[in-house]
Amino acid sequence: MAISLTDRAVRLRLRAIAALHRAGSGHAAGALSMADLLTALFFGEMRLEGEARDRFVLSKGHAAPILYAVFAELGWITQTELLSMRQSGSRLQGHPDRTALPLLDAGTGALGQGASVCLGYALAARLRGSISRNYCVMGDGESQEGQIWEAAMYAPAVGLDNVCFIIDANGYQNEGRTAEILSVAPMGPAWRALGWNVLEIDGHDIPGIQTALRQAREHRGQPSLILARTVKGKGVPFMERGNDWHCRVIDGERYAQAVVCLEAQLSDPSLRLVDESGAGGGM
Amino acid sequence: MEALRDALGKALVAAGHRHPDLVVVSCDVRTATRVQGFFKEFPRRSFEVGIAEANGVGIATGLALAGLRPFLTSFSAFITGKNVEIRSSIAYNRAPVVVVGTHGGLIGPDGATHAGLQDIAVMRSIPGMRVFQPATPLETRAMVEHLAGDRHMAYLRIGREVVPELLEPGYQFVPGRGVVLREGIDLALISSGSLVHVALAAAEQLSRERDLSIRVVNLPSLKPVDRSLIQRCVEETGLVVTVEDHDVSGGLGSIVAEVVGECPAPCQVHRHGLADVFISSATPEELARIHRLDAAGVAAVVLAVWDKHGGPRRKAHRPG
Ligand SMILES: Cc1ncc(C[n+]2csc(CCOP(=O)(O)OP(=O)(O)O)c2C)c(N)n1
Ligand SMILES: [Mg+2]
Repeated sequence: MAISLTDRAVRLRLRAIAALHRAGSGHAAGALSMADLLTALFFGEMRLEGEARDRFVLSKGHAAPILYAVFAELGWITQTELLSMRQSGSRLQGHPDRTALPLLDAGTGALGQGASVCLGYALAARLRGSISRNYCVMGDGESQEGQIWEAAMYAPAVGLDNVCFIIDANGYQNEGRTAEILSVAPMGPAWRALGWNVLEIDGHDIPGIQTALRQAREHRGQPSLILARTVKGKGVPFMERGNDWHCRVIDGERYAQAVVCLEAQLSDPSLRLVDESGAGGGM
Repeated sequence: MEALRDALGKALVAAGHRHPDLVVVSCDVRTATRVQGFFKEFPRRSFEVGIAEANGVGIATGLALAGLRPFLTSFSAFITGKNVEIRSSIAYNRAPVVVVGTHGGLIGPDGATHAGLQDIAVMRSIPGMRVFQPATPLETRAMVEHLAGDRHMAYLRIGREVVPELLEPGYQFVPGRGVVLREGIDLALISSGSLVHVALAAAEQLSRERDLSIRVVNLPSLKPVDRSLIQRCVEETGLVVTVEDHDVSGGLGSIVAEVVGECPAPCQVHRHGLADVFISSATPEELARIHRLDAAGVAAVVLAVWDKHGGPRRKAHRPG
């Protein structure tokens, strides 16, 4: 039985919070808000293998747990390795390190830089006549960084259309609401004015994300920006309110609660994650 | 015991009451840098610029040129990375900004991107920029009080760890002055910041276990540095080990070696710290152990240096 994308997204969330709980530190809510985006990207849209594989840069590097969860769901790393995140000797660094984990297309963590790296990949693809597409996910708070806007000006200026940036517009950053700290709204018109093909969507509607990714792929002559409206902490009700879970430790009790909420969202209990020793029951 | 960033936060509030021109600029990390107390106490003198460090540098420059005394705060790795902005906006204008970088050193599970390990090197290369680093809560307060009443531009590096108090009440911070925390004649162990108490512990261990007489020096002012104190260490011990939670190229080790190289008396310097590497995610304790920056590690390094270079000189200095 093929696993549906909705179930995939839930499994990604389960994996990510398991790693965060085990680590005892890290950023939960901004990882959860992009689970549906990564589901649509990695399970259907992206070409994951071969010379012309697509590239993915996680500019908001603090959301690493959800990307590592994708790698585990794809079978590229084991769940056991996923649970080593942030611990001494692990390839899964607190913020992505491609020298430790070559599955990553870029190491990130200091915000604001990934978009430009993604453009470098896109230029190289064009130079080589490669059909590979180049994706970058960034935060709405991160969009305050000046370098994001340098990248935003550059891609249309050189006519790159093998690029798709995705903004995880969850409305919050570290210290509170992005609209109150330093509003970058209205982002859609701003990017459109700079020459981007802007697609505004609900970042939790997987078919809608798929449609936007396809439209972006088919759009010629301009880079595409998917402005995804999301809920920070999506999927775990007590993390969905406010910004408390930006980087709060998930203790045992909260973790158990979150697992119950998430497992209830699976279409079939057999899709729950069992630990790899086959012992069953959680992770 | 207190985390230096907590001491920083409280010191800024206290200084804010005495110095009405003191203002704070934050880049979406005011909780982690512990300046949120200042934001609460002095909302009109607090500026949150968002995740936009380059803009923060420029804004702090303008505030300073207009006569205020801005403390521009972020993680050391992020803010000192804005090198060309600091160089051209702050330094080239001689704008009296205090750049505060927290999370200097081996920070823990957030890993390499968030750990300030090159910040001293880059900041001390900037013309006119002073570089200070407190070792204890009291030294943090003394430094903030000094900086609040001063108009030099400076970089203030703050470690993340909880450290004990080592200084006597009434301690005054003076730029360019170091502090001998423990006398000794066999070897001088020079440190700065959060590792000073570790150096002291290592010296005490080696005194107990090996009967070594190790002088421990705290250098809170890395630029200008206490040249005469370093010179005295050279003349009186002939053997220097530096200990730092920063790359040994460009940091404390380099600073001391540069001074020693200009001294007439011969002296061996061993620089202990991070050598051309990024740290990895781990607990701070594990990182200290891995990089031999806990007391046991420092003691082992010092002992190895002593065994290699120290014996003959000790005989010359302490016959019998
Ligand atoms: C250059 C830089 N400054 C500050 C930080 C600290 N930091 C980590 S996450 C974060 C907030 C990010 O907000 P946003 O981009 O909206 O991400 P999300 O809400 O999806 O977590 C900040 C300020 C950083 N990682 N890099
Ligand atoms: Mg956000």
